[in-house]
Amino acid sequence: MTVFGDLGAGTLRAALVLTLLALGTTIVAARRHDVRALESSRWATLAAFTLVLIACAAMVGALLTHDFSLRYVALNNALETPVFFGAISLWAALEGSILLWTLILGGATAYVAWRGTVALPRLAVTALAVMLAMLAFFLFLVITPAADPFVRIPGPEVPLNGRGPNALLQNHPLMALHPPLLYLGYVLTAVPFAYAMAALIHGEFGDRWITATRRFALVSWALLGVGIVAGAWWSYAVLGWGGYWAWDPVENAAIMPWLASTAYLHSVMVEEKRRMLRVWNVSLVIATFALTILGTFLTRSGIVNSVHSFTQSAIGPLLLAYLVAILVFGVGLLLWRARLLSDAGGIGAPLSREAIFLFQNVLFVAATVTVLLGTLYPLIAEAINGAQLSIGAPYFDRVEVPLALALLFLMGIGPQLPWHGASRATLERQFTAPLVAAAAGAVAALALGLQGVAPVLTYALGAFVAATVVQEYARGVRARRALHGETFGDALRGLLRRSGRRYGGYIVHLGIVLVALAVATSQARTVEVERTLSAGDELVAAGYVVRLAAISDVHEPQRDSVVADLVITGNGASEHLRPALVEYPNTAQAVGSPGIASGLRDDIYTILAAYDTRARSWATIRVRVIPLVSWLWIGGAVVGLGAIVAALPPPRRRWRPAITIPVAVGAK
Amino acid sequence: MSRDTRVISGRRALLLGVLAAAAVIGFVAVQNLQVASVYYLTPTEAKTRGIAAGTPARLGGLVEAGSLRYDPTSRELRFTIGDGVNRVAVVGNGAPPGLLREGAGAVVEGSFAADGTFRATQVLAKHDEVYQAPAPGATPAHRAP
Repeated sequence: MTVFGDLGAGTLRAALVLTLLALGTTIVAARRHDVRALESSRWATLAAFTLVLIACAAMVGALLTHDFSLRYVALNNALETPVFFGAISLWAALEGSILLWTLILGGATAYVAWRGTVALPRLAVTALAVMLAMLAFFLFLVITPAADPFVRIPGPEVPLNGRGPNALLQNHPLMALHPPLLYLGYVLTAVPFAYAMAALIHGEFGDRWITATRRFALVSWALLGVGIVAGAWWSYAVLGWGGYWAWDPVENAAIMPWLASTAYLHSVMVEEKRRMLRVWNVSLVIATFALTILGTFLTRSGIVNSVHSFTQSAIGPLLLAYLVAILVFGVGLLLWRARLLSDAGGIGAPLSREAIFLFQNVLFVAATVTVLLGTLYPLIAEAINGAQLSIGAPYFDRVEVPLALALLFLMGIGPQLPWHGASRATLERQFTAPLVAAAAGAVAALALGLQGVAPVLTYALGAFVAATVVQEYARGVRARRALHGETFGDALRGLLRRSGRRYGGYIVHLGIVLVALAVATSQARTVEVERTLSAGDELVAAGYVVRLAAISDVHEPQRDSVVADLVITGNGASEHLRPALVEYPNTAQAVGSPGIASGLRDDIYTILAAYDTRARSWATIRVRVIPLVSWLWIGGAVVGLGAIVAALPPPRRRWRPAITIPVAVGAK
Repeated sequence: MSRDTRVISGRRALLLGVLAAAAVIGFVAVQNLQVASVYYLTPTEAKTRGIAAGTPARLGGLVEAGSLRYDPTSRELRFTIGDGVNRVAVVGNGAPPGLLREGAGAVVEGSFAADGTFRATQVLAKHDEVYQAPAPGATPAHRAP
């Protein structure tokens, strides 16, 4: 029965050996320009990745065959666990998550080895060495007791049945999506970091490292963003509190690298166009990558107090050492080379695109730093005066909401301003229509009954940004139709395919507007009603009538549930919802499973808060009517779509050489 | 109508703008850190430190077995939260969150009343990846030396 355990443990050790070998040959290849050494690193890297893939498959195999002689399986799987949740339990706990992380890093390293080193030998070979060093660390991590997924349980103590995955993790299919997306986003930030380090090592500061990693930076940013939205959705659909974001350290850990990465994606354009902000850009790449490690360290070491309490293990000190090594290495190289990273000129005009990008960067970095401050402040306060503090959501709301609004404003202005500076005439041409739209947005917000400065401003700024995007598309389509005589559809396709980075970016901006509107509306206009009802009783929330039809018990192999049958009518709705309290035999806690009727206008979110444990005669039902919250998930999808458009390579120009060269001439 | 097509410039304004933005954000952040910080205590710490009535606090511990009482008509929620050595009576309003269970971890936010009970404005159950009860009277891991 231990075949999977042996296979997994063996392949991980072999992968570490191969990775170290590849690291050695890559360093030789980089120093001596040795093509044969590079060739062997490529194969060794690919083999190491394949071995990690086999180890992951072994873990999934062990989970699906319920091999409880492995501690990880015994803790995260049970005979009753459905196949789907058994397979995705690969990332249900720390050890499996680190294994998945190693797999993704191995994939990225293999990609750099095979594809990256073709185009840019020197830079890419050094970047490959950096990637291999990081991969070696993670492979070391998964064979140390701190994070070894293949730890055995001694023969006589092997349980007959496992504990099963955490109830919260087997309650919703979104669990299949959220962690891998986030890990992919986290891990892929390693690629820009590795190339930036290579550029520093060689003192090579063209745009080459930026060009080589542009797609990685964009894709990792998009995956992080979509992963965060998927996490918010999971929290909304599973945790039964009717919210999606609580400024918990785990959430902050995910959003910080995303914020730093967003700053980078914009400031890098300034470097490409104006040859400025070079030190700044390298710093942002280092910061983004370090924040992914910091986030993992904070959430996995138990050093900050989170409502999500993950397993605490000895992995904390190892991750901290890794973080310190990365910072010393990255910042050290940056300081060493800073003199060479001179900028070509400065930013002169406050109303130029580069100046707005600069402001945008200041605000994004401020957002990152203030989130970091709020997350770490309890540690700082304790170190200074021993007080045990916790920083609540009000801090984050008061600091981050104004920053977000200011960024929304800049999002409307930046793309509309030319590089080098704008004239009065340009301002009139670019902003007349958007300002009218902003006024209309504010009126719409007031008509919808929104109160308070922040929600109304969000509507006004959202309309402002949306109008600039529409204006840009309209002008682009018009220009193509005039130039090429294309139809509207062809012109639009042409814009998206040939200038995908720019027009995809606008789609991302529209997605962010949708997210902002959804957050503002759902935060400002949620109606909550809680009543204790007997069967047949009704309550009314925001015009919806909720009737408790019955309270019933449901038994399934892996869980027992108490379900409230609710019939929703009113406002044109006709829904049947079944919020439940679910008990898993192996978990000490009952899990609330909310009943949600999602709509483009309102979500009706129902929670079975309490019930009569003896006679099932009453149930306390909490109903939240949350307007426009679906647009948060839709906005996240739009952001992802825009990122895909921006990341797709433009079509190759059909190239027909005027003169055909006879190929055979001079051939050996 | 003659249009002004000169580039609007002003490097100093730009620099001042950036500095002013950073200063304002820093000020707002520090101000709000002080406003939004809340004591985070275990029942034992609450007892030894003598937190004054009305001071906002967060209390973390285990919901003690047999202590959870919920009155469906008044929707008053009562339970005691303990760390194996000391316990605090908690009174809240509204149904318990679905995850709240006797013997499981919970965090309550609110403040102490003059009679020594804790008036919770918010009750959060800890959702554990793997549930592990701490040893009696143990310091939470995030604060271990």
